[in-house]
Amino acid sequence: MSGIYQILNTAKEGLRAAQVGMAVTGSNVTNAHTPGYVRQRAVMAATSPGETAGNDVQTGVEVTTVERLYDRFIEIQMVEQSSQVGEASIRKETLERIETIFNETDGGGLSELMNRFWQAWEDLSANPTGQVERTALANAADNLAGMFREYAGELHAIRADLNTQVGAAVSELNGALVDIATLNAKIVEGTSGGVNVNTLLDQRSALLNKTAGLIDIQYVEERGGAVNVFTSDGRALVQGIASWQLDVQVRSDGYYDVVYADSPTVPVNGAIGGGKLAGLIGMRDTTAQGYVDDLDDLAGALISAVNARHASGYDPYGNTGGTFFEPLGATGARDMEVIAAVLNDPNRIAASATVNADGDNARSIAAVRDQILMGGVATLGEFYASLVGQIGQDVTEAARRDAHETSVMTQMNNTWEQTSGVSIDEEMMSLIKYQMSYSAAAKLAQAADEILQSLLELT
Amino acid sequence: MRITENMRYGSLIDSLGRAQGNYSSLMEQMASQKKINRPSDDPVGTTRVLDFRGVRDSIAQYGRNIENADAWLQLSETKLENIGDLIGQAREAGINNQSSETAQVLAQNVGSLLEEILSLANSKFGERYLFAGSRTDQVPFGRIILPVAHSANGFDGSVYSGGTYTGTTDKTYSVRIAAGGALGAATYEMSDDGGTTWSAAATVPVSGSVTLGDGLTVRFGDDGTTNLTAGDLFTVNAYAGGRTTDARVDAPQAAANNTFAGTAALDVSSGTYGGDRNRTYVVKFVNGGGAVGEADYSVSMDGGQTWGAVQTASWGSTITVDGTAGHEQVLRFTASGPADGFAENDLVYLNAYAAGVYGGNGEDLSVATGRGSRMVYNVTGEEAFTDRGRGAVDLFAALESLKTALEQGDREGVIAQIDRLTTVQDGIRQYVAESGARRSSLEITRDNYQVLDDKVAGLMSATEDVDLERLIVEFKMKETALQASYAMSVQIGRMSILEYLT
Repeated sequence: MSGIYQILNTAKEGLRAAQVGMAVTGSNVTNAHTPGYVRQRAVMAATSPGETAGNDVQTGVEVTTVERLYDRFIEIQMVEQSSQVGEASIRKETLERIETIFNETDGGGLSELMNRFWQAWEDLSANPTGQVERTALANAADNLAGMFREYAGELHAIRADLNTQVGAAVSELNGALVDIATLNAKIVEGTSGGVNVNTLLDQRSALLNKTAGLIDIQYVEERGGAVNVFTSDGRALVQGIASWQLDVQVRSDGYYDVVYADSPTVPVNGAIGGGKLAGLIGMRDTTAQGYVDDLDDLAGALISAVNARHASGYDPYGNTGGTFFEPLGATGARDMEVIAAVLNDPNRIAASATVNADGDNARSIAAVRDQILMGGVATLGEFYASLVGQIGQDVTEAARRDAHETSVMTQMNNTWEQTSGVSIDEEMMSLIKYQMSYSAAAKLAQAADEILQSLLELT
Repeated sequence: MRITENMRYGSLIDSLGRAQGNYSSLMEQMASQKKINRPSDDPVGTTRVLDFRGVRDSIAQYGRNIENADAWLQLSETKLENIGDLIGQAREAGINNQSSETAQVLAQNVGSLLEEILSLANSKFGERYLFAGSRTDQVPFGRIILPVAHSANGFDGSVYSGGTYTGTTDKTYSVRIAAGGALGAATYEMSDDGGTTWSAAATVPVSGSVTLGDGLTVRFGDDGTTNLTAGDLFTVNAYAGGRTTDARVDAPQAAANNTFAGTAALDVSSGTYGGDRNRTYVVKFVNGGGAVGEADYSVSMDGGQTWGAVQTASWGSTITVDGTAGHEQVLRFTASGPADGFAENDLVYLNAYAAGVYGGNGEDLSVATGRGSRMVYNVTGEEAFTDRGRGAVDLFAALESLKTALEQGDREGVIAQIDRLTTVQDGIRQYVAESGARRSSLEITRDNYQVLDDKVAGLMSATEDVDLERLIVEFKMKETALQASYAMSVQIGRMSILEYLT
């Protein structure tokens, strides 16, 4: 008797196992395109026959666990790669924005306005008393100064924008760190209580990737299931259920330094070696700042060369020339201006080397164009052309690196997918498999029921 | 290898994106006809293109400079040629002087030729006088009030007209020496009606300066070998608004922006300007000085290009702008504002004119015709028409003398002036030839630039312009690739077991 009941019991276990298998398959199929979802598999095992006698072969099935199929090592690599991608993409994005400022390919940029400025001086040298030439020069100078202001202003706007993004990235990072700590607590609790924490693990992996995209991190998984997160130089960000917060402090130039919230006077900018934050800080303080410095140097050299010559000439009123451009202040090329006296009255332009109308001073100023003024190797025009070339080079380099890091990430992602991704074909096969298991188990129950009926009819 | 859903679609999206990227980049090149549409398309090429553009702009500018200089030279050449022809006519008038009946007519002819030449010498290019050196706003030549010495005179020193003629009509003054002797001893008679009536004899003062009337004076210099001799005759045709020939210095002018609000005047102790060229002196204040009413200044003798040592002056004191023997020019400053009224860069300048009527200066006008090279494009009136030029003959003095000699029937005088006019004419012909040479050199430079410009344009085009045929072929290829990607992405959705499950 007990044998038949056992067959029914085995059929029941088979039905249940097939149901669980189908449920897991359902979960996989519906999440086939969910980012970060790790495919699961119902792990089945034969139940022990228990206390059986004689030649009983009563072995059922049970689902021992729902396994999460993932490769720990590829996940660690992906977290590291996220930092590279985060940094490379912000660099590319920002440099492409900067490139549009310096786009000289259609003309009308700083290079052309500089050329026009020198030409206006030449024209004036040929007709030093000409009002048309004087007005044209005053306009050309004003346009040139305006273009310097525009370029420098836009660079500073980009720096300010990068700065805002630093603040936003720090808040985002703080949120992620808190979430990781919270998930740690739930995972530790769930694991010890035997609850399925697979979804929580997926969420935490996604958060680790997101964190790494912001800042380069290292992490280790503890035995209990919690992960501890550190910066690349070993400072703790998350430890078990505790997380540390970062903050920003306004420094003397008005931009943010990244600090630990509990020691706000110690900037940790230097310790950030990757991720979006490293990209933002590097672009803001090194790359964009470098372009600003170059532009300031260019404007400064142009202004001092023109001013020095202008001061030694004479205007038609018999005055000495004085300054032509306002000398640069602390704000650099952002505030480049032609002095108001010249703009109000172009006859204040000192075109002549004597109090008579010889035009030699205008010629001397026009010759600044061909002077080696930048670092002993370049004229102003050449310096600017090589700055534009440099920016183009930087963009090319950043785009190349971004493409490279992204393709490495894609490769890793494919490797990850091979282990953890969902294949519909595969799941369909599983579905068919479980469906058949279910049918077979049902058939078993039916058969058991039939023999039980037969037995009952005997009596 | 397991291929998951995400891998299939991910790689599909990647390759579609790449194909679209290639396609749109080529599209951009097709539309702009440029290989370089942003610096990162070709950083080195971008730098080269910017350099090339700079070079081409320079070339265009040098071309414009050359056009300007050429136009100026061409006009100068025409005017000089015309003047040369007119001088020829004046010479012929002298040569034709055979009888006293025709002499007066010829004198009138010479007079009108003189006026014509004057107006040519005062020609303008736009608003600028062609023959005034760098003082292009100054009328270079005026009607000359010239004392003409009779050819039979014994006196061989210099004689200049001076002062400013205030008469409103033209008048002929004559001075006749009654008794010979050195300055201060000789006596003269004066006529203001062309020699009809004469004044009583008076002594020539030691300064040599004899007053004629209406502000006009005549000054005899003791720089000859023979003193004034009895019977020596000097004729002065005074023209209303004419210029006298003695060296002079204009009243000092202050720069418009001076802080100094007082007056600057030539001091009474100034001597006659004895320089041989027209000159602009500039006094520049370097600072307000140490004590109240004191200032440090520096003097330039070349219009403000080079400066002498810094010196200190106080108000009401005098500043010697040129201490050279014979040049002594002294400025006196008088205060009318606050006691410490000088400021840095306050300027006072004064124009000094050597004997003669030239109102311009001897400075060159030049434009850049290349990197570091310049071309002088003007001929100054000084070199072409005055005795400081190549022939050392003053054109207007010679014409005026010829006219007077004809009027007075002074045959020796006429012949002497014909010779002088020949010298001037030769000089002018040389300047014409030289400016022709300068123009052809400009033309060569311009042609060279044209060739260079074509080369640079070729290089630039090779760097930034697209090779259209190649681009079209490439474009077609990418288009095909993109179409294939689209076709494939439609297919890939069907490649699933789901298509076969029923």
